[in-house]
Amino acid sequence: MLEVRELSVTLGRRPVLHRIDTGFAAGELTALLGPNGCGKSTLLRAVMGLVETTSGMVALEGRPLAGMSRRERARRIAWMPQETTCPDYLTLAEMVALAGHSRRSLLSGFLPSQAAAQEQAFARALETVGLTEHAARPVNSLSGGQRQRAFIALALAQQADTLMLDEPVNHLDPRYQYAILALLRDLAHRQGQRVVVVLHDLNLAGAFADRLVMLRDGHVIAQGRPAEVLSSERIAQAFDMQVEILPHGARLLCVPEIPAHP
Amino acid sequence: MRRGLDGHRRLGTVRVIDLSAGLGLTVAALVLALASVTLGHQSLPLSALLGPLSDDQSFALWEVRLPRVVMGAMAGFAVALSGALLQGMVRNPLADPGLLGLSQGAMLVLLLCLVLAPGLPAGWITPMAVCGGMAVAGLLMALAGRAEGLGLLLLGLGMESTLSSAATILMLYAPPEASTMLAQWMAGSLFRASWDSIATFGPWAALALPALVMLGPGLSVLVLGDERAATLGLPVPLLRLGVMLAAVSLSAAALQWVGPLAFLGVMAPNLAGAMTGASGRARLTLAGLTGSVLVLGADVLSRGLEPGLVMSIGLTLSVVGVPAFLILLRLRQFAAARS
Repeated sequence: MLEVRELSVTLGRRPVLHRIDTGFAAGELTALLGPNGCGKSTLLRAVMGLVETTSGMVALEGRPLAGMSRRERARRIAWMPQETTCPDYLTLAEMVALAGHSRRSLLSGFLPSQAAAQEQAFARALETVGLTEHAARPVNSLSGGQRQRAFIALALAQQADTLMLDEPVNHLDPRYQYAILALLRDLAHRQGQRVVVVLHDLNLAGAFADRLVMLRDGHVIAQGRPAEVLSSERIAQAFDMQVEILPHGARLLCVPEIPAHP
Repeated sequence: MRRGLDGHRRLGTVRVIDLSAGLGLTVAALVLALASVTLGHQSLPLSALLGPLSDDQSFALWEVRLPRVVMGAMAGFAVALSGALLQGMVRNPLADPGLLGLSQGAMLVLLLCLVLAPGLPAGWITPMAVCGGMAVAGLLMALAGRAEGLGLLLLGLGMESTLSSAATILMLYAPPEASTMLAQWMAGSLFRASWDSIATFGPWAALALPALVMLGPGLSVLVLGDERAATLGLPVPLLRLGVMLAAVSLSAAALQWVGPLAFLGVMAPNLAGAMTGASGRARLTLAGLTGSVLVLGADVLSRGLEPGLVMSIGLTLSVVGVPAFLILLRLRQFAAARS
């Protein structure tokens, strides 16, 4: 379990997260939902130790993350921010290979045997996101969707058992939105990884997530299985919008009401 | 030899293309060094180097020209590496010890030493100059806070102009007998090269090696942004500190002996980067070698063009090098746009 206990974050003078209590289980895909600015990204960043917390703690299998070394944390948890920069000269294969940093010692860069072993992991990551044929191209010459998948591959190549992806299906066409989420769900269900994603599409969240955590103004307002969380009342509470929930086989479809002309 | 995922052939972990570029640059540096040795008032053709030398020739070779070539290569490497390190740290190809005010901090201390204690041994002055540069670096980091990239660069530019003015004022108080020397030094030149000065500069220049080896891999990860790099296990604050220490030491020590080499710290790493698109240690090494080649080339050019005049490699670098550099970058953009 990756446990978040009583976690509060204040950025500048603005309180962003209030005593967040939640947890992410291995083997599950958890989706964080909520309106813009509700603290979803900050929650991920707080777990990664990128923002200072004013109270509370995060523990992985009982061990506080704050007590782990930077490198150990990098081997356990991979984080993908909403945007990643990349210089023009870096090829996709080289970029993905940067994931090996946490497993490298100062001199192992000079040892080809270790490099070859790691390269297999990088090749698998590229294959998983369907970019093997583009390995030699500069990252910045890829299309928006390919770039997005490239950064997902970077996170996968980190070989961590926990993936925290901030809007992983941004910039992707519908086919890849479904393909990437299906892939992440499989990583959770088949390989026992712990996957946490920030999503905006309620239907995607309902279709793929095992658990939903819904935030509003830095508070968790609901968490649980999609059927428990996705209700017209909850969505109205979180997003200030009217949504009709329609059962569709085993899935729930969220059909928003279209605002009338003022 | 094996082919990586990106199709690049590698020897060990080094791309063959980077290795070839490094060898090419080394050969170019050696050829330029040889050319530089033959140029000058005392005739010393290549053919004479093989046979016995006259006393005058021997003095010109061993006491004047060889030290100059060695100093030029070392200083060029140091300044270019310093630029490459800073560019990696702020993820901006314009960073340079001169543009960030680090060189001006060191220069201020050098001038203070000249004005207040003209007899101070050179070996004592270098660490003081480095401290001057580090003071600016510390101020920069403190003011920048968590600012990345452009913010740091803008702060540095402000620092640079303030400190330059202070340096100009200090120069008015320099002893009159030092003014010619000062003018030459400010223009960037190799006239102070000697085995003694190399012995003083050497240990500082040797910092280039650990800097390359220890900071190269970290900088290659830092391109993904400070936060993404940190979550890949990179100790970003430590890396920044290492970059600042190395960049300031290398550039301040070089400054003491060859003066400010305008724009070399920007030019050399960008040329090297455009050559092969290397990253990490290879990127830093190629930048340093390109710096050596550029300084030796400027030396040959200025002495070949104006054999009688006092040669200023700094001026040659700005007058010939910078336009050539800009044209080259433009050509590359055209080539990239067409492909």
